[in-house]
Amino acid sequence: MAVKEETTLGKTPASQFQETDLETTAVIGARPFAADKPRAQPAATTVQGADEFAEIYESNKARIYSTAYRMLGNSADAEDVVQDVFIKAYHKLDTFEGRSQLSTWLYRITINRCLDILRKRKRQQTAPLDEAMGAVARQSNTMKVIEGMIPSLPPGYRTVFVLHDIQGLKHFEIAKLLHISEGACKSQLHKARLMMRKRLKPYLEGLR
Amino acid sequence: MTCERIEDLLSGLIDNELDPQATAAVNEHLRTCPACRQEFEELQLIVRQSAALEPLEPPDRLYWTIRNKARSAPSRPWFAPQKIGWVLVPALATAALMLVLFPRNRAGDTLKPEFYASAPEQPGVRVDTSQPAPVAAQPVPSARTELTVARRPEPSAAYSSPSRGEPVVMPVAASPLKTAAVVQPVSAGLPSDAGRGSPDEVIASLHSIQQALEEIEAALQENPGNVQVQVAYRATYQKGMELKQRYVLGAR
Repeated sequence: MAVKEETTLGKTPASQFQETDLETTAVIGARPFAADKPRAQPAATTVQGADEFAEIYESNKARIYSTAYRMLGNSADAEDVVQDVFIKAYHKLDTFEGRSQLSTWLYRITINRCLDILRKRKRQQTAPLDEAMGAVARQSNTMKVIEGMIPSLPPGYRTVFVLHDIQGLKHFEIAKLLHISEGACKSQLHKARLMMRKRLKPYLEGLR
Repeated sequence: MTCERIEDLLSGLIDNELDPQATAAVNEHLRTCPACRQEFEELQLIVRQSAALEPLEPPDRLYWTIRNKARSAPSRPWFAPQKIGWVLVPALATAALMLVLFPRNRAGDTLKPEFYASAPEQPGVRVDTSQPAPVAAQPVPSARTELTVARRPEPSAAYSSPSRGEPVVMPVAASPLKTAAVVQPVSAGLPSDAGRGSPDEVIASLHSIQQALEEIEAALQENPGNVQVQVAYRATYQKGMELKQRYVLGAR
């Protein structure tokens, strides 16, 4: 169960939406966007000191690595993305005003970098379905089965699916990240879920 | 509601984003439609299990790799190649195009003859090299070398203002010449529309200038020490370059 937590967004309409939507979050068990334990704004946003950078790395590394891993489907590429993202962050920390802005920026850089990598390996842009099926067939764990099928989604669907259903971002946050409308975000998510259901159909009976 | 319409709303129901009316309608449909209910349950299972996926931790060594790379790699300055690529690439492409269109040899003073090798004979310019080369002690004060070039009519201080269809008379050298090769203007034989400045005409004029340059060059070889021939050569070359520039600017 997700716990209601303070967000860094303040009392904006968006945060109100986020608060009311926490019931849904609780139902589906997703983690809220700003789920890290609340702490003061680090001075790292204005300096490049080792301590501040280490703190920011520690509080963001898992979400960045998880996002990259589930977007790309392998740890080597995910590590490359984490490297790129945090090296950029290291040089730009002084330009961020708050943690919310930093988190959004980190996500955006992560997604852009992942999409770049997917574009570069066009032939493997989506993992072959047979390959994904083969990997999934060897899994007995429900979540592993689902995780193994994610790379078979087209990049656009995959992005929204990973950000919303796995990382727990809200539609307005994803829309802001990807520069799309909330409607487009919801539509893509629905299509992604339908595609996942279609591909997982042979396994769903055993998963329930 | 039809099953198709219900399917579109299932994600909204799972995410609790439907208004109360729609929620009630979908729930009512799910109670009576086993197929839609099964789809809803399967989607709900996927969403629930996806949300329960644990965050993954990168290996510890990655932090030190990042730290070392970040410290050793300074932030990219504004003039970094990747940032100026959008400027550099077109600039280099334009320069390459200019080199292809208007090549110069290593000496830097003559147009490459092979570029104009296939040029048709143009009567616009005639270089008269039959006259004996005057020596420096015998200047020809009234000699004025002019070059007839077909180009687009355009008022300019450096050029006469021709009426449409007339060739522009370009002074090759403003000062009196003491030259072995006296280049005289020859307008006879020019096409009637030579002054309209179409690309073909301009190129034809460039061919003529090239021919004049070659003849002056031959005269220069005969009298290498004659300063006036050198001046005439340079002036003719400059006029050729001016014509090219005007052509390029006009073509934009």
